[in-house]
Amino acid sequence: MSLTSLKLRTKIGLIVALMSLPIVILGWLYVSKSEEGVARARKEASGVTYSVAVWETIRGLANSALDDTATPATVLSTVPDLVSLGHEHDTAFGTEDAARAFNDALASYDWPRSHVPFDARLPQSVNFGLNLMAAVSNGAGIAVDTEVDHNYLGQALMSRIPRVLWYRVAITGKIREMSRAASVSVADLGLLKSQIALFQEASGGALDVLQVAKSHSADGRVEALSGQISAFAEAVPNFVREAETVTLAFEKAATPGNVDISGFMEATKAQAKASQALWHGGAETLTAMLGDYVASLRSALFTTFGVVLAAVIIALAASIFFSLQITRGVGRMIGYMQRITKGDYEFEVDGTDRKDEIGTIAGAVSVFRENGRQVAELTANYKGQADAIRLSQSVLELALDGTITDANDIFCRIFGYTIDEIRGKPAAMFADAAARESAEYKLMWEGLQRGEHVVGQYKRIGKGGREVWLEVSFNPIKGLDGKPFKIVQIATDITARRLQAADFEGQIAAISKAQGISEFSLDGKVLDANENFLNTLGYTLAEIKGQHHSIFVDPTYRTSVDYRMFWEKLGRGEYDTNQYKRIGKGGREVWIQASYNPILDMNGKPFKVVEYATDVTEQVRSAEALQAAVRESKEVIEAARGNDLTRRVPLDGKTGEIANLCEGINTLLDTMSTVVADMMEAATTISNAVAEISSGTTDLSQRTEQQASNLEETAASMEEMAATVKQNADNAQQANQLAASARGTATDGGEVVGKAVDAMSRIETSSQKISDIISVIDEIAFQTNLLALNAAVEAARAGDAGKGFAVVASEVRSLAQRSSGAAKDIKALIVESGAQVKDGVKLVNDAGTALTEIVGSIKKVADIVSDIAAASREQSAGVEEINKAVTQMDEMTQQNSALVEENASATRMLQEQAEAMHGRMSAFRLAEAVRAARTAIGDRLEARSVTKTPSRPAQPKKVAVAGGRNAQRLQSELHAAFESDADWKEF
Amino acid sequence: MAESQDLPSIGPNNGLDAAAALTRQFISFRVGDDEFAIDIMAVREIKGWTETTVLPNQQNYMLGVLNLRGTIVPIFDLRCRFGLGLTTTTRSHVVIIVAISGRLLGLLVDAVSDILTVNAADIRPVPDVDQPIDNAFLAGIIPVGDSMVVLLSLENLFANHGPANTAVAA
Repeated sequence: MSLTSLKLRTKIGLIVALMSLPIVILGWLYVSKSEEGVARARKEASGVTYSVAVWETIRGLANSALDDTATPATVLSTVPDLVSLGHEHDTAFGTEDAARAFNDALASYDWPRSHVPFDARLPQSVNFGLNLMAAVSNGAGIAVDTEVDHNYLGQALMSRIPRVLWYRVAITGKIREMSRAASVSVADLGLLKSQIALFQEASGGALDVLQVAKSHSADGRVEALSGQISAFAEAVPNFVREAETVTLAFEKAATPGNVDISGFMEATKAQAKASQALWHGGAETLTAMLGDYVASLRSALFTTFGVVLAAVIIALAASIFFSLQITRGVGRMIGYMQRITKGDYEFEVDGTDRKDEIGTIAGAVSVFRENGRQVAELTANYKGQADAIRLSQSVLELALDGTITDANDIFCRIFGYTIDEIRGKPAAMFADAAARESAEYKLMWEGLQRGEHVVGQYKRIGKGGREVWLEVSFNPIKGLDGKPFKIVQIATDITARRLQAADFEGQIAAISKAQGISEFSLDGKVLDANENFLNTLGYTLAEIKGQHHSIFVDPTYRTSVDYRMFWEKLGRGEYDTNQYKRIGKGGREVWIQASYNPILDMNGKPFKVVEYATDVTEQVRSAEALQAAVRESKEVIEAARGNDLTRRVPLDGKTGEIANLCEGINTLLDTMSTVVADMMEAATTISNAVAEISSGTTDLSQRTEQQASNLEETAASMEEMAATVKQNADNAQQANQLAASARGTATDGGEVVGKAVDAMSRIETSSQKISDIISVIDEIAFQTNLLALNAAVEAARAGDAGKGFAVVASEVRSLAQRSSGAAKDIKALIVESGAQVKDGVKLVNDAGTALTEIVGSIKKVADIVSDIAAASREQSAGVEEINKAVTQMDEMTQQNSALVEENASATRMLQEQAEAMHGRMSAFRLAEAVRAARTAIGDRLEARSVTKTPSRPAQPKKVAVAGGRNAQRLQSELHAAFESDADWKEF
Repeated sequence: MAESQDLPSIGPNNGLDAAAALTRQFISFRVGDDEFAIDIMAVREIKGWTETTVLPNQQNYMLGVLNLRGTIVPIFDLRCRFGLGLTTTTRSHVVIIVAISGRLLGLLVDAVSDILTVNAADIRPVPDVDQPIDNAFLAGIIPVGDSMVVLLSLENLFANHGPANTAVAA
């Protein structure tokens, strides 16, 4: 939650709370501090209680010792329960150790039932008690804070008076001990004296402190102890005097036992009583003072707490008052502002006369209210006007970029959209595509965006592509900075008006474009004529205006009754429509399809005649031309039916479809002529070709016979050749076998060589082994030599005793040398033999290589021979096949001969048929040109066949080829007609 | 130089005087083509060549040490000591273990030739040449048949390798 979302009142409350916080904290600190003081005082009080118990115990101890029979239980009215007190307080005061020591000391006396003897142990035990008291005083904090009144009294009670007690006990104990002793030592006397002095000093100190305590006790409680203090003060010198007396007596007396110490004991008891009284009273006073102290702390605490509480309450009340003052004023202003915000200006602003900030705000709010009221009035005025426009005209609101922001119902109705369909869309959606892309449209928008006003009529597209015409004014609305921020388009739908005007104009224009229109007075004078009419007749308007209608008609018709009747009919107001013949400028004949319409005035009387005419001259003329063409075509076709193909339809003056039709007929006749001529030519050509075939067949017959005899010779030659080839193949087979056996032998030789090489290699290995053994022998000889040398050395060192041994060593050495020499000889021999073996191996290897080469060569020879044998076999087979082929050729030649015969007879039949066809074709009469052309081709063919025939015997091969080719072409052409069999084709 | 008690002196001077009537024995050996000899009494053992343990930072003729039954014996290449280059050792090379001044050392030689028994009187002194230091290595010359054997003075030859001088030499 941020600070700005807090209400003013809350903020002020927060500030007050924050400012009160330190006061509360301070108060709390003070209270806790006071509580600490109280707790400390309580602790002191419990310490005093504990101390009283300790004191009582010590008193019990000391007083029990004073009387010979008394026990602590009898001395003390109530024996304090130190143990339970210890449990209660020891931990808090830190007095466990001291309490344990004292309790142990008490336990050794069978406390409190047994009498306490006055011996050296007593001062020590009392000392434990005093230690405990001092510890309790420290632990409870008694006599620590010198600021508080009871401090000095506490000091006196806890430390000073007990010290006096201890010295007293010590002195008493010493004197009693000495009185019982056989003799008195000087050391004891010195000790006693010093203790008396210390007692005196301690007593003086105690009294001093009590004096100070008295002066610090404002309420006079310590003053009340004056009786006890003075009794104590008196008892001190008394005790001292008695003690000194006894001491003197001890010094003088020979036997200490004779010294009377009863006076001293009395003084001791008196002193004990006085100090007891003082201490007891002091303890009560101290307790009371502690009570007072606690009460004073409490009252101070309550006072302070009250003051703090009152201050806080006052501060809160003040802050609430001020915050109410501020927030009420601000709240009222907020109320005014909210009313202004809601548009309510009819109120008076209170507090404008105030001098503070609220007053200033009120003044400003008052001005706001006045301004707001004026603005509201103006707005209402303009709104009324705008509403009026909206109710009567279509209104469209656009953003500057053309996006539709709003439109009224009228606009939506015109375009057929709902407002939701168009809001947010660009306004260009209403313009058609062409307009949208146009430069004008862009210019208009740029002008609008500059703030220019645009008015005009525009075509727009409504829903479903409907065209809408609008009278539009675009009104850029300018902001305070003078820049337009939106555009309001106000438009009126003028579609209906535009459509009607366009309809009329269009109809008239259409009629005018299609028809000639002329206007005449009732007496037939030309009043007006349109462009079409003038063009049709070839006049200008100036030439005919005012002229009579009769200039457009035939002179004969002009004077006829019919013409007069025609105008009379029009004059009666009856219309006339028909196909009329009219005369144009220069006497040109024009046919028109026209209606003459008398136009009636308001009284129903005709006052002029309007002629609507369409030029139909072309149609009339073409109908005539068609009739002529049909007639001519009929004549030509009649002639063709009678085999006369020379006639043609004249094409002069014919145009369009008719010309095409006539041309078609002519072309058909031309084609027929050509076909007939072609067929005649073909018949001639066939006739010639057949003659050639006939002579070719004769040639063929002769050559076939020649071929048959040649084939017989060939067959005989082939027989001989086959025998030779067979012989050849057999020889090759034998050579092959021989080569194979030679190869086997050579391979065996190679194996033998391999074995020899192996044997050599084994010899080499053995030699190597022998060599190794010899090396060992040599080594042994070497070692033996060394041993013998060592033996000789030893022998020499042994002097004379070793002489015999030296001889032996010498012998061994010579043996070793000899065996070494023998080994070396053997080694040389072995090396030599090794070299010889190596030579042998090399030779054997050479032999092996040679054998391998021989084997390879033999293998190659064998392969070649084998190839030859195979080739011979193949040759034999080939020759056999050639033989067969020759035989077959012979048979075929026989068949060919028979076929040539058949061929000759077929050729004769063909020639007859060709001549028959030629005769049939001659029945047609053809145009001379066609005939001449065809005849020329026929003659050329004839001439060629005639010139070539004589040269045929000279060049039989070439002619055969040429004739063959010709015959082949003819063969394919005539194949169907003569249904020749398959054998013919093979040839 | 301290005289060893168990070793007769073979110095060039006193050797000739003291042993005039005595026969002495020498071990002769070959280094290269030359024959040398040492007193047989100095020899402790003769053994075939075995690989030594090489010690770092030694003179080049110091081939390393051998463990001879627990005693570490330095082995010297005599050829190299004579300035004839290092010996290419084979199994037929021989090491002569000698005791010089109470310490053992091994001498690598090519082969042990023979044991010579010579009359002391037959030992010829070394001819005086210009280099007294080199001559100090030679104790004498023993003629054997037509050839002769050079008698070495081991004490002088390995004087620098005494125990006291090892540290200095190293």
